[in-house]
Amino acid sequence: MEENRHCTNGGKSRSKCACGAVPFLAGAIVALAFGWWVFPDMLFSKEAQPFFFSHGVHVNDVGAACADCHSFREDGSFTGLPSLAACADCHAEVMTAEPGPDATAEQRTRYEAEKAFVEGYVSQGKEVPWRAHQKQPDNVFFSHAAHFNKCFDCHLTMQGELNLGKPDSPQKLCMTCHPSLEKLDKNPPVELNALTDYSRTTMKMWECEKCHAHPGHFYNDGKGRTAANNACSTCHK
Amino acid sequence: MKFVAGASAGIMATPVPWKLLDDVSIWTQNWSWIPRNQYGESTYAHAVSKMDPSGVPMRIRLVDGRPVRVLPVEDHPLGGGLTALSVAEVQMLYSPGRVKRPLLRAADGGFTELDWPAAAKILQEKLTEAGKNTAFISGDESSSTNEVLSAFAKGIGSDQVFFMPSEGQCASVAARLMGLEAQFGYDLEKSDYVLAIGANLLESWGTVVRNRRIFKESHPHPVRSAAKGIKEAAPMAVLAYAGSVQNNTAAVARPWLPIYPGSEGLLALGIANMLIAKGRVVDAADFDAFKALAAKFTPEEVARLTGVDPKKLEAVVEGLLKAKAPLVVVGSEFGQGAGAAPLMAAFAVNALLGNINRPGGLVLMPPAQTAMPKAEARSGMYAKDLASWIGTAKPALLVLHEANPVYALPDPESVAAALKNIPFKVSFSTFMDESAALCDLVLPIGMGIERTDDMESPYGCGGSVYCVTPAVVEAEQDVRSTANALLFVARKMGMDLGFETLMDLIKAKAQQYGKAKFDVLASGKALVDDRTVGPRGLKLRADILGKALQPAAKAKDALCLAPYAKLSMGTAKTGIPPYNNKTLRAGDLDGTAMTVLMNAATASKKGMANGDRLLLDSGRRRIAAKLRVYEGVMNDTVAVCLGFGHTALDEFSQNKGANVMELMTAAAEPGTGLSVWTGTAVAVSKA
Amino acid sequence: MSAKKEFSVKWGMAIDLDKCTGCGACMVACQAENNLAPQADASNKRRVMNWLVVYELSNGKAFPDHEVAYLPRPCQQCAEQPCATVCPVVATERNEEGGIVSQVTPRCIGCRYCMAACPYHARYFNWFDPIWPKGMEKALTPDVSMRPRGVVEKCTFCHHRFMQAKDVLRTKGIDVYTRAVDGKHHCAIPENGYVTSCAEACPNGAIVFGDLNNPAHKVYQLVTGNDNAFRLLERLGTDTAVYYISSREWVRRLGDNYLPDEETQKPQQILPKKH
Repeated sequence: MEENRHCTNGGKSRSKCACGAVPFLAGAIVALAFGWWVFPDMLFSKEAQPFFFSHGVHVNDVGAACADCHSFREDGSFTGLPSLAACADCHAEVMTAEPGPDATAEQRTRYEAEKAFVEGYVSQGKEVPWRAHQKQPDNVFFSHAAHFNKCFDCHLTMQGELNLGKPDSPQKLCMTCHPSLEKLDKNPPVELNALTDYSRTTMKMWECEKCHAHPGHFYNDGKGRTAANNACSTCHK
Repeated sequence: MKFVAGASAGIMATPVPWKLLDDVSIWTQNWSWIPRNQYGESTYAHAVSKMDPSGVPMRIRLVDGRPVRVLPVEDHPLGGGLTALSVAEVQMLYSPGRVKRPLLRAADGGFTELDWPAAAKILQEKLTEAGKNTAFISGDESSSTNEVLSAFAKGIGSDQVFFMPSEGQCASVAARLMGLEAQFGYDLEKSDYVLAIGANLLESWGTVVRNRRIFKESHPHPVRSAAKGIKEAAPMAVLAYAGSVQNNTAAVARPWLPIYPGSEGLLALGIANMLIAKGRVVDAADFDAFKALAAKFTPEEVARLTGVDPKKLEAVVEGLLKAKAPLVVVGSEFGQGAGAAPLMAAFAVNALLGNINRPGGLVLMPPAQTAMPKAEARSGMYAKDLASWIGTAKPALLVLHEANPVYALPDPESVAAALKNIPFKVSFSTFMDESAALCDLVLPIGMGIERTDDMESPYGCGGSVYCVTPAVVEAEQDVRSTANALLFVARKMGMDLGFETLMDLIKAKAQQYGKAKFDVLASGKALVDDRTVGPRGLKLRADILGKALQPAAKAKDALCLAPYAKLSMGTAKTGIPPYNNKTLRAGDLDGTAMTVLMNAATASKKGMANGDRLLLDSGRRRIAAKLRVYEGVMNDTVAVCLGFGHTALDEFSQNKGANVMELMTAAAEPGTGLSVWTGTAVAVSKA
Repeated sequence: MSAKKEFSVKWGMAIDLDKCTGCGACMVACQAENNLAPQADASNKRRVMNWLVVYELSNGKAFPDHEVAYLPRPCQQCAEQPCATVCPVVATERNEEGGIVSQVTPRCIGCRYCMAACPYHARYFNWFDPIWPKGMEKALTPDVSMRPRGVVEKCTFCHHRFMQAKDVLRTKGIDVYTRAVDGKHHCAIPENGYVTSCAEACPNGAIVFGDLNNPAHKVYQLVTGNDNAFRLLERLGTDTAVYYISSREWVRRLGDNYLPDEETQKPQQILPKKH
């Protein structure tokens, strides 16, 4: 308070004020730097998958579709991460040929990874403790079936920016919401929030509402209903 | 100072405060001590409840292999819904009252843990040592485990194999005394007029879920429309109930005939007399003697003895006579202690109604089969009366299988004292119940859905039925099955009982029952056999009835005690399942005090009012309670619910009221060899 | 109060009070299905969490003319909700096809206005953290999230079963809503495809669940024009989705606060056709 009074009273003190802006700015810059660069690293831990896994190999080299591993059950629920049994359908034994002396580093990595998987998990019957990028909070009921059917009923055919086109590649449907992991040969680390334990890529509610509360989704029946219902219990349990 | 101010301003322009605020709010919603949803594939498995004595077929929902729900089975002769007990079966897997590993009484009085090989060795030593001085008590009437128990007993020279008392026992002894080699079956499905006397058909008598499904099917929903001219459809079958408490059955039965507790047999004789007066006869050698006995039970006399309203009774008898397939079911309001005579009287009434072995009538089913060479038939085990034996006998070794006599028999305190005199006691038990807590060796067995077991014609069914229940989930505790443990010990002792495991025995039994494959039965199929045996050589045994069916002696100002049972309160073996104590209504329990029921007339006669603290005194023991005035109780009667007053098991069962069995004393029923305790009188005073 | 929302599909119940024996199987089935925590001492009903309660009704007459009936009380799923209108944080609303009143506990601030507003006492405050005996958490279903202490909970008509039933249809490629012969939209879920846990468990068939707007459903047939049907506190105008049926007039009269000389009314007589 004392200082403030000086500022408003005389010329001498005015120059003193100009000097005062420097520490203020310095403080602001440090805070900004902390807040934007340091803080996220502090908040999120980086967790690697239990072993090297490449979506790229499965999609590009083997030609697998997402639904080959991430499928619906008969009761309409979604399997999410495949069980060991599903993986073991193909990986009962090491499939990759043992790399010769002139193999690339990449080939070696792949071979070593599969060997580790088959020996460490398949033959021991141990489920893989995968780190999920997007785990639903308990209070969310997310229906893959609803999105597969309802959203794409319209969006595959309609004109405009949200036209997803013919599903020439089945991955396209999934990539609307999920990151294109098939382009990556190596999974990015799963970043877990130290406070909430949710991953960084977990969708927030406002992201759901991009569609669920989209004005374009309102029916013209005057009842305030939308094609993507935004009622609480549509998504919450 | 300015640096801090700048930093404060700057930080506001970063995600730090906002992200932290958001994350902290999320953090506060996911406390680590609150369980999280665990996902996985839902699978379903069929089982039959061994925890619920009423034989409930169940569909177990498993998520990722974990059982999470008990669901009903529609397509099953005993199915069609769930009871308040069977629906809690998967939660009971994790009951705090479970025995986790074998326990041996140590010198200091506590238990020490041991492993199964060591426990089996001790068991073998004790069995060898005691030999023919070993007694067995089984609390599961319908399992083939009983064959193992009786065959094992025979192998060591003992014939002391008992069942815990039940309605099935009363009926079996009644059949035997009447010269019938059969199990009573009740074709409720096809009956159009069912009179239940004492038998709490829709809550605790026999095959409860089946009984209730039949009630559902025979009673259309009440739809009526004056505008459309739709009149209410009459029920396809009448359900009438005679009993001292307006219990779960009486709530929906039309009409309810209030009678004194313990007077069920007398009422049956009165009905028999009315039927004979209408010209009905029974083709039995001693019918004349029965007729002479029944003639003593004139409507006036029956009204005096049972308290029944003669007009209402007459209407019911008329209904029975008019019905195409009338059926009279007699039982005890709390499922035990009625003796054989009331069941014999009921058989006579059904015979007078001409419904023996007829559709919708009383069915004489072939007796339960045995597959094990040395095993005793179920009826042979039923013939032995446990309540009178336990006070007098002094076996060197007692083996309990799923039995809790220290809680469930009349006068539990004396039973506990008798048990303490037995040098060594073994309990095969899932839960640490009152009896197990007194035993020297406690051997944990799996719950029904953790073990392979079977169920053969539970009492109350309408025809022979055989079901297998497979192990749906592996137990987390170190458990065995009683049968397999005994078969193992038998081999060690050099006995050959004909089978290596209970599974082999069940497979042999399935073969006996129409050459059925084990796997088919284990997937939920029930084998039904409608064969009946004729009532050849039927004797009505007026000699026994005349002696056994006497009005209970009661001091002038004492009240009749009417215990009643609710499956929701569990059994003596399970106690109250964790979710079930919420089904107690406001006022059923006041803190730890239990409520007993009287009608207003009785209460005012005793100078008591709603909410009064009472003492119920049998002369030997007394229990404290709180009075609730409930008009659905017979005059001069105090109604007390079973299932309270557990001192063992877990916190969900303990500290709740008192055990009404404390007030009862078993008395010998003349001529039948059974004990009765349905006609107890108690002095009631304000505390 | 905002305008009442009408939906093509209105899930509802007809509870036959002439069938209910008060055994409590529905209450236990409800707790197991919806992951309610048990309480060792459940005698203080002000602290006990129950989404479904079976009340005992009496005709008030002395022995031997006494009659007893039992009344299971889930959330009545009002179309005009006293609760949602007072919720300061929109944690409860009726905004979805089917007409089920939602309860989003993470949003609830525990102010309990809704409990005071609910004339049916169908709402419960969670006084205790949901803790199960050790190991029993393994028997929890994945379908309903656990609610922390300090929020209000209530019956949701097993809403998760509705969601699952829709997913079954979608996976088979069947449209969830179809236009039926009467020109109205109906739900393609078969009548037994979505049933609440309480209705499923009841061996007496006392609870009938289905679409109150679908003439093919049993629940519609049981309540439409049935003089034996009534709703609780009908004259409050809450327009509930839970109907009770009983042939006994004294039971029907207990559904509302009738004066001694008032006639027992039927649902159709009380509510005007249009609000």
